[in-house]
Amino acid sequence: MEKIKLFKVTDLLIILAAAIVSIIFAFVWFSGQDDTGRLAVIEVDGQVYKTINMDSLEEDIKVQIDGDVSVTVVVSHDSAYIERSDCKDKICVNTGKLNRAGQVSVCLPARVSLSITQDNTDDDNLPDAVTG
Amino acid sequence: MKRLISVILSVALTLSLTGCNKDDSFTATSYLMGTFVSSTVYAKEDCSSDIFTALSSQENDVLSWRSEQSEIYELNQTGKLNSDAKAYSYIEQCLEIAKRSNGALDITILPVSRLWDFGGENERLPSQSEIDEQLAFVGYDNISITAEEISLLQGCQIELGAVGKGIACDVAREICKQENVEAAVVSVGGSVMLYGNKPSGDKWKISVRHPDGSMNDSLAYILLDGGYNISTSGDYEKTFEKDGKTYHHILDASTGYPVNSGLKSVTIVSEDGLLSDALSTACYVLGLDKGMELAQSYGAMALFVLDDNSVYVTNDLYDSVQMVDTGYTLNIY
Repeated sequence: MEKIKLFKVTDLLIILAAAIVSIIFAFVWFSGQDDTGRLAVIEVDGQVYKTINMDSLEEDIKVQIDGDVSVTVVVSHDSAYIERSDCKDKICVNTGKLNRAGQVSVCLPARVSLSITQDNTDDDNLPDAVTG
Repeated sequence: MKRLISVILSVALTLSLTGCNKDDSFTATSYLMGTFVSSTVYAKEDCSSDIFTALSSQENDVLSWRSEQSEIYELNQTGKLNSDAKAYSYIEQCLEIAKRSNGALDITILPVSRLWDFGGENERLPSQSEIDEQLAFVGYDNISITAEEISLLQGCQIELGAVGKGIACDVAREICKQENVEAAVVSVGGSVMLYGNKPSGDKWKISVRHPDGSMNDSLAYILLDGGYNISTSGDYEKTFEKDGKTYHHILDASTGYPVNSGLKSVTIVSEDGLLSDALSTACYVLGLDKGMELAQSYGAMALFVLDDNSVYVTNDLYDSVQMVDTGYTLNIY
């Protein structure tokens, strides 16, 4: 009886190479998914002004944004907040510390926003929007 | 042939492990209509800039009473507005709501609200005589509307601030339709527009701001399919203190003073953005019973937060609400 060979050695090598490539891709992809690092994103007038990886911080960072209405933002390992603003109502300062992804502090007069993003562990629980 | 099969198998294996990408979404922010605007669009191409451009045009050319090129500015200056103006239909709809709410929504409040100037440079407590003087010009019956035009009685001034963010939601929805967007969530201040269903298959999750906290504190979540607009009016927005008393920006058109109707906030869910925004203000002014009656007469879903920390919702919204602060009690009205 003739023996049927489904794959040649070269075929198996191609499959093996593809599997290795797949594993590398999967590793890169899933290692990204496991990254729970939070980013503090400061935007001025809708444009990203500074992005800070909070997990990598050992000391607090102060970011001064000068303009008609100046604002000081503080970012630490655990939280981010608008520490000071020249605005009248101080809603941004009174918003307090942000420590979870999805939270936002906005200084309307200065057109500055501070938000925390990319906390993948919380993604499913985050609201899509806030009414109020 | 066998080599072809092995190559196909290899490609399939590779794709099976790497093709599980997230849905394409684009998030952008801006400052328009006097507030913070954010949009998340699920689509092949980002149309956030189209949305923002349309909102900016709506603000400057139609709605803003401060913008000298706007239709409302023209109306306030000349006392006339032709029926082909975009603002005509907005004013027509507001007048209808004003009549049904017995003036709880009144777009002629501008002469009085300008005295208070909530959130502005000259925010202050006006004197009684100042309020009385300007109240003479307030009243939706100072507007007359025909099929050809809108005209105002002498001294009457229009302000669409109570419905501007809701109108912006309607404009954003139109852009999403034109651009064949799969899904989107656009927030204009506290008004939210939900377009399409979330690609993940989950419901949209809307946080109702805690009336005693900041914008990041949730009183409750509302879980919704796409197609709705959500607006909230509350006593925590635009406030100032004078001699130990807090004044908020929702004014009673009959007295010229901030409303005290036993409510902390009202949230309205409706398929129409203007209506949801208008009703949230009108229902807040009317209080629980009359407000619920008005919301239900429009088929809108509603969530009222009372001063005594009880929460009342329309029957059709009850199953969609998840309380976050369990110190507040949830009831069906």
